[in-house]
Amino acid sequence: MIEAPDYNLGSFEFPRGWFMLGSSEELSGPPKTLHYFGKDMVFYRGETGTPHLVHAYCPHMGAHLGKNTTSYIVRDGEQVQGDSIRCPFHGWRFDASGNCDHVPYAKKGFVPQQAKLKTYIVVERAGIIWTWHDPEGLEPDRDLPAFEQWDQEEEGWVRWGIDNYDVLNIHPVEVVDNMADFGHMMPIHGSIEPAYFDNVFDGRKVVQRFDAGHRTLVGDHGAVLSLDTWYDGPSILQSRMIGEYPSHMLIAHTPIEKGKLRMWHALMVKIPGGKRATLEQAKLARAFQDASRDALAQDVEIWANKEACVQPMQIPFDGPYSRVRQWYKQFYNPRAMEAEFHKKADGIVVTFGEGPRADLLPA
Amino acid sequence: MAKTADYNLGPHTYGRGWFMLGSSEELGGGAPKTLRYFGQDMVFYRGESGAPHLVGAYCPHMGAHLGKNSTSYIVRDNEQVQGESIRCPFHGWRFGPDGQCDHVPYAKNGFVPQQAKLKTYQVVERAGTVWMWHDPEGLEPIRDLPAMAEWDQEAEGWVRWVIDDFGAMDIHPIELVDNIADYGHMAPVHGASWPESFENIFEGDKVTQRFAFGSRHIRASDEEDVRSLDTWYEGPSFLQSRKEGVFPYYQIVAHTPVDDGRTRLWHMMMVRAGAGGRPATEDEVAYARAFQVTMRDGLAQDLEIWENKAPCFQVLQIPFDGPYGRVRQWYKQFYNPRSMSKMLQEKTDGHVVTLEAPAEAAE
Repeated sequence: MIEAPDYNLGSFEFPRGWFMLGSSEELSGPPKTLHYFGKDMVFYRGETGTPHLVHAYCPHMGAHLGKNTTSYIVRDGEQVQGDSIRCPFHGWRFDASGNCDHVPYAKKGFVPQQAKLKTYIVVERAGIIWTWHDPEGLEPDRDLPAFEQWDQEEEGWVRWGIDNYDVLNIHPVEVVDNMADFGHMMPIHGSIEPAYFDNVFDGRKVVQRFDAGHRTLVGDHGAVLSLDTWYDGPSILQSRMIGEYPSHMLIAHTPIEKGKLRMWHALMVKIPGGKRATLEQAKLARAFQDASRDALAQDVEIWANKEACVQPMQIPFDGPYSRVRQWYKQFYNPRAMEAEFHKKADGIVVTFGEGPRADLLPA
Repeated sequence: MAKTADYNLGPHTYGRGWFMLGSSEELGGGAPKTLRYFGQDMVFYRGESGAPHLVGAYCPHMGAHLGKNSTSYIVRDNEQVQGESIRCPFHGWRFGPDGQCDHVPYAKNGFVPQQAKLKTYQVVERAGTVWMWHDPEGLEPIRDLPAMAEWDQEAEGWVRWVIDDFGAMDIHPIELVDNIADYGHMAPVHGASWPESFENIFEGDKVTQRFAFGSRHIRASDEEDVRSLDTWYEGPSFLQSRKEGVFPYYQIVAHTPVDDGRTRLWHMMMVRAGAGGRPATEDEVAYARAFQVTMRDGLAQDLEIWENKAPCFQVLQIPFDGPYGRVRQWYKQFYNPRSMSKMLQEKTDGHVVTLEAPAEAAE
């Protein structure tokens, strides 16, 4: 991608929703510096392990809370106390709500009331740290997906590892376009003999239902792979596959700057038998995840090298790219306009095969 | 990087003319190659006949890069080039050598979108090198690429050149073209002692340098103490030099803008080393090679200057210098509309003598 053009999505630069910040594993230990939504932030864990996300710069004099190794605050292991974090410059301490609660050199317990660190909502779930981003500064009005398979190891689910694709110079809309992309399934993902492809637009959700053969993933000629894939909000894609080895996939992306994002992939697999997986079975699940990761890598190779597409040259046999982009606009506009955007996009579009199919949508 | 606008050359960022793209060896068969010249990403490929084609790098459908892909099944299955057509790895759209889309794999009834057209460029392969015509106005070539006929005269003793690739450097091409007027650098940079005469002839889109001198380190034979050298540009981008004598040679120094202010450079030289009009022997071929290496090393001395110098927008010209100002005026014709060529040429046509030949040598 050469430069980030204007996709004319709405009044916000970054969308409203839940976004992945990184894996729990990567976000542990001393405070970490993060950069998302064009902002510098610091992530830290309280002494009990509770995750916190705050603005990177101290309100006192602008020192960076995360980028320090030489201050005695840091060397003496005093930067995090309870759920509070101290600035390495003058030692001002801020509690989990961002209020200054201690200034080491002030007398009589004086703390400046106006000294407040901006804090962000953070949730840790399924081995991942998430944040709520809202250009209007409002509270979440929707839940982060449950990823309940993470806690169903006793029923045979094998937890995912996190594949980090790191930074891509592409606007997220070009990643979300994939929901409508029937034509790339054969060249990029090795699908053969497609049977059905549709998209269901339902409020904040868009679903892709795709039935086809596959050159490597299904053994018998004529066997059909049935995939339901959906976005819940602007950034979290999940996909479920039913079969002998049911799987649940996650592809998450988070904007870093305009036209730049970070992307992750993860896959949980259920081992047949309904019991906790053996070591061998867990290895098999990991191999499934690797195959799924490699399939996504083929999209990533396209994304990493393409030029910006402000307007796809849509032909009658393509999926509904423009409707997906219309659906996606709701996240770049005030919450008050949501219903209006839903009305414009809601419905079913069948791109391939006889439809619309009447079976149940993912919950 | 100093840009065309800084040198006040004219409205076009890049000149009009034939430009070298690379050696035939480097641009051989196999996978399509990614090129960047004139600030544009391009893809070079050979049809099944071996014919060279050059197209815009990005697919008009959704902007995928036609050349940077190794994982699409189109590429893995070796289906990217069919006949003289090339397929996009993303959705498999195929484009003919005229750039027109001629197949969409997932479309029915042979549907092809008429508006889907890939930009194509005019390419010529000659004497082991590949060239393109670049014209800011999109017009047809104004003159032919030189014949380089010696390439096919091995029977008469000519030894084919190899291509010396100097790679890209951060310099505007005008500072390379200045060299045609550069009398003063001949002794310090090229070791040309005992100059006899130096003159420039400006004729339309051609400028010639005539230089007679004795050389410190190149001596074709004992009889040839004084060498007389004709060197000329036909158009903006490649210098030719031809010398008769015991070992006649034909040399090209070609340059092509990569981006505004960045230039790639090549050198090549053919020598008639086979004495008496028969194919060269092994020893004579080795001599021709050594001769090319000597000439390449001479050019490398210019290169060391170019790679390290500051941009020169206005030469501090003294009466004993060659006509830099006139060369730059001559060079402007390629950065202006073709309709102005005649007017611009009339400004420079003529003969400039920088060093007068001694009376007896002038006869």
